[in-house]
Amino acid sequence: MTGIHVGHVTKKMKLAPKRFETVFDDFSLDVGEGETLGIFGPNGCGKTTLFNMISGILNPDSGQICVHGKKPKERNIAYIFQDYRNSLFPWLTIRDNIIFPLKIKKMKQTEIDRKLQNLLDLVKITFDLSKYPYQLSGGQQQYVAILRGLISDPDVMLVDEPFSALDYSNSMWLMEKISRVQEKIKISSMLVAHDIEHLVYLADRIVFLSVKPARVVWEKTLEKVPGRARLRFDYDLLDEIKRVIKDIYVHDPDQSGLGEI
Amino acid sequence: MKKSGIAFLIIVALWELLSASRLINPMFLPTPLETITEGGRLLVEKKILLDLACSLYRILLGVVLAFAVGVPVGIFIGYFSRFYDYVESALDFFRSIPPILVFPLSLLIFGIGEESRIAVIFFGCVLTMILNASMGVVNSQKIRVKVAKIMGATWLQILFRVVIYDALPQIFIGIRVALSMGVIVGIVTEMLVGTRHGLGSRVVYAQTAYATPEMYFTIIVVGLLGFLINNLLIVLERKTIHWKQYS
Ligand SMILES: Nc1ncnc2c1ncn2[C@@H]1O[C@H](COP(=O)(O)OP(=O)(O)O)[C@@H](O)[C@H]1O
Ligand SMILES: [Mg+2]
Repeated sequence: MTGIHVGHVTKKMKLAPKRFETVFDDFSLDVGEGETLGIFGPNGCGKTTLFNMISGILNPDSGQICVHGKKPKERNIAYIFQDYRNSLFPWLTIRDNIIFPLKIKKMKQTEIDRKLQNLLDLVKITFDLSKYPYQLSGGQQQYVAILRGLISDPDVMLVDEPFSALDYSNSMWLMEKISRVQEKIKISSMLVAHDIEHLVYLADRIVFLSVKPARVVWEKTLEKVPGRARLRFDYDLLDEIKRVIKDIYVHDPDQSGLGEI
Repeated sequence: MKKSGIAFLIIVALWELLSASRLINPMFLPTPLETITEGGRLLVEKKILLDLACSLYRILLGVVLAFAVGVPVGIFIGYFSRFYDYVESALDFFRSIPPILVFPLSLLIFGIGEESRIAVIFFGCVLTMILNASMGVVNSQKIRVKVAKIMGATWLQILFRVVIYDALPQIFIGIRVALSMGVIVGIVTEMLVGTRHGLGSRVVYAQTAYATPEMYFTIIVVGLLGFLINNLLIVLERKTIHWKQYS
């Protein structure tokens, strides 16, 4: 069984009354069990729309989306947004932010404590849990958002541009953290990033999307080094991929949507 | 704090100069000393404290009632935002009516007791509360609501665990605006139809008795009252909405 299955999905978005645009037309994609799929594509090509559909907050016009063989609404999905400032709850401490999904489910406090301890045993947190989000750096806040997504043992995780609002050192820090989380917690996940280095570092496979209506124009499976996700970083590979990106997105005006150079 | 103190001292000094110069008839402008002495007498005789307590009681009761009604109504209107479009103009219309204008109507309905004053204060504040609470909810972070929805939160949980917190800063603004409105309306009702005790009544009484120092002192007390209430709220706001200054 695949982790995430997107089959022949069509989706039109409403631009204005009676004006629609086709974002997806017969679009298909699969994410294997435990696989991390990196998504690369121009702005506005439909990456966030895809995540919204997989998480069940948006329905496709036609086609099928399955998460471990079931409808998204019947599955537990962790969805992490680019805008960590507005997705964390600033009135709650870090601890209360992380356990928020469990509180929503009215879980018993002892059970909540146990789950939090399990998570903390698995991944390292070096900052004070009694602090508030605004007392942390951007990378740390995004990390908290990811942990909040993981605490309720999700079936899949969708991470939408986690690095875009971060400065260089924060995004390096977060990349390292995500990679360590991946070593400990194996779930099917999708990750959108605009920096190919982030994807090469974290993904098992990368798909490259065209401008809308989005199609997969190229994909690359990255060699796995068992147990050591971080060894994946490979400068020759990176160079090769960068050349392909240049061919696809810069020299082909149909893909870049930017016109001739 | 220090700068405000200096400004205050300068104002008092100017006042002293002006009244000592005898350019202005002392009937209209007593000296600071006269005013303070008179104030001391009023304080010792506990008269002004009783006035203060009575005015404060009316104002707070009206404002608290307006809060108790306005905030839930405002949150409801804001949360079901389709509702908001219907009532927005109506709210704006009623808010454009100077509250004191409905005092005669209130007197007709409630008689010349406390109720009529409190009703007018309530009217003057409740719309501000409704408007700010609904605005806070309407402008609350949609992403946070989305996050909670994906976690499977019910609409009640979203309302009480997310939306209300997001609306809190705006609700606080509503409280502050409403309280200063409450002070104004409350004092004016006392001036229009005298009561035995109240700061507004005292000012009118002082005028008819040509007791200018008393009038000045009472006016200062009213000013201090508004000033203190506002600052108290600011402190309270910093404590409760600790995250606001960072977002
Ligand atoms: N809420 C919305 N209403 C209407 N159109 C939208 C909405 N969200 C996104 N779109 C449109 O859908 C297309 C894809 O957007 P999005 O999925 O956000 O792109 P990406 O995340 O790849 O940058 C864009 O052309 C955008 O204009
Ligand atoms: Mg996006």
